[in-house]
Amino acid sequence: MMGKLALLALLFILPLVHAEDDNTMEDWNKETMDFLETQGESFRDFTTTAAHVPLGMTGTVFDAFSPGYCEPEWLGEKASIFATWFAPAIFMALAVFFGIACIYMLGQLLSSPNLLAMAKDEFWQNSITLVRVVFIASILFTGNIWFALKTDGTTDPVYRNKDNMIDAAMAFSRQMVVEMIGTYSTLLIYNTVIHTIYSSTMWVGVSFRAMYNFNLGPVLKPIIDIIGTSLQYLSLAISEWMVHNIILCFIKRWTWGLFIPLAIFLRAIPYTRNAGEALLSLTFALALIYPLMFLVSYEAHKLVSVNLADNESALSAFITRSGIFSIAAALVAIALFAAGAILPFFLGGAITIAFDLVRSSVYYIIIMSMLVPFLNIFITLTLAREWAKIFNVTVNYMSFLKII
Amino acid sequence: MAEATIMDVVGSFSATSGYGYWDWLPLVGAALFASIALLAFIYIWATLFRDNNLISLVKLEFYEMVVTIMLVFFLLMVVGFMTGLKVGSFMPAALIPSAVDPNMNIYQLTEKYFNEVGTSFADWLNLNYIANVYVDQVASVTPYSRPMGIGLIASPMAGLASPIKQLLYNATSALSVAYVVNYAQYYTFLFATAAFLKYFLPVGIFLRAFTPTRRFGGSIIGVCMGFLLVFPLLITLTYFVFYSNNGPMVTFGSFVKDYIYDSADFSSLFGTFMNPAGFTGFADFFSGVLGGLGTMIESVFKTVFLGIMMFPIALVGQAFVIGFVMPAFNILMFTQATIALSKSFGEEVDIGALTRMI
Repeated sequence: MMGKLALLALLFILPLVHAEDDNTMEDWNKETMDFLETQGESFRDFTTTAAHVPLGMTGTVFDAFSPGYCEPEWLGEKASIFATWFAPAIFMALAVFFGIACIYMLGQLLSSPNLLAMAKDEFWQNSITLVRVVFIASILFTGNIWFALKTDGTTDPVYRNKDNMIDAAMAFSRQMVVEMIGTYSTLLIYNTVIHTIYSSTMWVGVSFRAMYNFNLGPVLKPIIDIIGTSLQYLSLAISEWMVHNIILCFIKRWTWGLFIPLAIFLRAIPYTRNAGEALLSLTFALALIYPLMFLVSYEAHKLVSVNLADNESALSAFITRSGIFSIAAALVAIALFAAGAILPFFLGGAITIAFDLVRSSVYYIIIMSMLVPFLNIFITLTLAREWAKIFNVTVNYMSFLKII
Repeated sequence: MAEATIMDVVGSFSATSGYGYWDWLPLVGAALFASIALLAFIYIWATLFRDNNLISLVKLEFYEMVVTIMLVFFLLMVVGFMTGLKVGSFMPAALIPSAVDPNMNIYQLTEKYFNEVGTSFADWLNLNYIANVYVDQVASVTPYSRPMGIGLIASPMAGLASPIKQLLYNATSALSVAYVVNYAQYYTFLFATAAFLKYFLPVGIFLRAFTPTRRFGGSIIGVCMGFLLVFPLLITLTYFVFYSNNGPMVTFGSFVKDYIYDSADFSSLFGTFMNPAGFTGFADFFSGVLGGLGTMIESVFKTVFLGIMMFPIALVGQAFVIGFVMPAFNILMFTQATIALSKSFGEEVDIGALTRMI
């Protein structure tokens, strides 16, 4: 009898001995976080070149969030700007003025004051269009010069090696994606750990005749719920910042290649002048105000984010400190069975870190993904609307706000 | 019977029966003829009773009639020009996606855009379901770790897989809505090219022939032009934005191909994990329940863990851009152009209410 018990005890000890140095969870957590950090930095710091390299070619796992190639078409490696959409803009302006000249000559020929007046009016309207396009170009150029002067020699990861505001705004968007993915990952790993205990049925006993089982589901349910909710909203917040990145890329690539030529074209025709006006105002606001608002948001984020918990360190510390990850299943069951000694310690640490992790999520969800984008979009669209009002066009951009 | 294509609806000068460009002309001619007959009757009446005011009115109406006839020719020219306008003739070659034939016109390209987006979404929905199968499988694995009767039975992977399952559900919902929005736009386009050209435009011209209904008729003509010209043009441009070389759809497609379709790890890792003979990861779990989780996760996901996590999150973003942001932008431009057109031809219609569709 004693021999059998000794044998059973030996068999019981074997896995415990094997488990002593086995803390692969901690290793895996560290490796994953290091990998994410490296990949995230590559993604954030990636800058497109004139060689038509799309953002999707960073070779990182963050390629999923790539908006594609973002350089303006007419600044690419083309032989000349006339090979791109910039040509239609010039041709369009020339064609419009040529048409107006024809109307004017016809008016002179027929001595028609109506035709002459129309030609003069259209010439005036199209001159206004050109002046406004030059104004937009000048403002953007000035803004980028200011940005270059302010960020010269900076070591800030968002500003360094960026030529203009919109590049920095995109870098900020990418950084937000990376930061949120980091937070999401720590929450996910934490959820894995907690969920393991949550879903466990612990068994204590030496034979099937006299056994005892229990689980800690109810006590861990609130934590599981709050983590699950945070994860869900955080995933939407990440998607939202991906959308910001795509929109910024869209603005950068197509402002001069599509929006401006289209606005010139639409504004040249009296029937579609209002549409051209709306597009011109929207282009101005999107190309200048929208990226600028991102930089303002970034500065605010730098000030506020110091108050956030360091999720990765907190999670690593929890894994190490709890010690629960380096003992065998049997010991876990026994330890949790002796709830009076172990459970308060374990749950105390678990709850503290849960709220630390959730705190970061709340910041990223409420502030960075709801309040800040609302302000950015509201200011951008309000400016576009007011700008359009100056030219007697009422545009209901506010429908866009419903998207938020 | 061959399936009707978009070109059958929009038609060409050579179309003779069934659908086609000339199909609505008899209706327009009938409307104009009715207007002229009515004016002639009023003119005879006015001459008979020597009513100079009525004669002036008839002359004014006749002038409007000439304007309407000119409008018909103008519309004929514009729609005919748009039908014959090849994409390659106004788009730089570098921006034309490889799947697009430069000889296509904007109507064909608009149809192609909706179908291509629909195909992409359907592919992603399928991929989502496949990923869901694997993730569900992993989530429900329940290892037993009870050496000598002491230990636990748990579903350790559920904590990792459940949020990912939620992501996949979110992606499915977002894609489904975007899919519906895409096809709603597609059928609006088909309806516009068929109904507006064939029915609403003749009705508009007919109504424009008479003083009491002139403004309303002009508004209908303006709305027709918005749907027939502005809407397809906006969708064509959207196509180039998303599907031009290195555009967001192309880039995302290459990510999916690299990390999921072509990934040797994706299916083999799951297969190994679920193979009882392999038991990779189970040994560690058996001995050190939480410590072994790292090995288990690594053996199931390895590098595809992050790929499979980021795929649905990114998918929601893509669906949002294509299904909500771009349609909102297009509707905004479309309504502004249509308001201006309807105002020019008749009176302003409250088409701005369409923005509520956003």
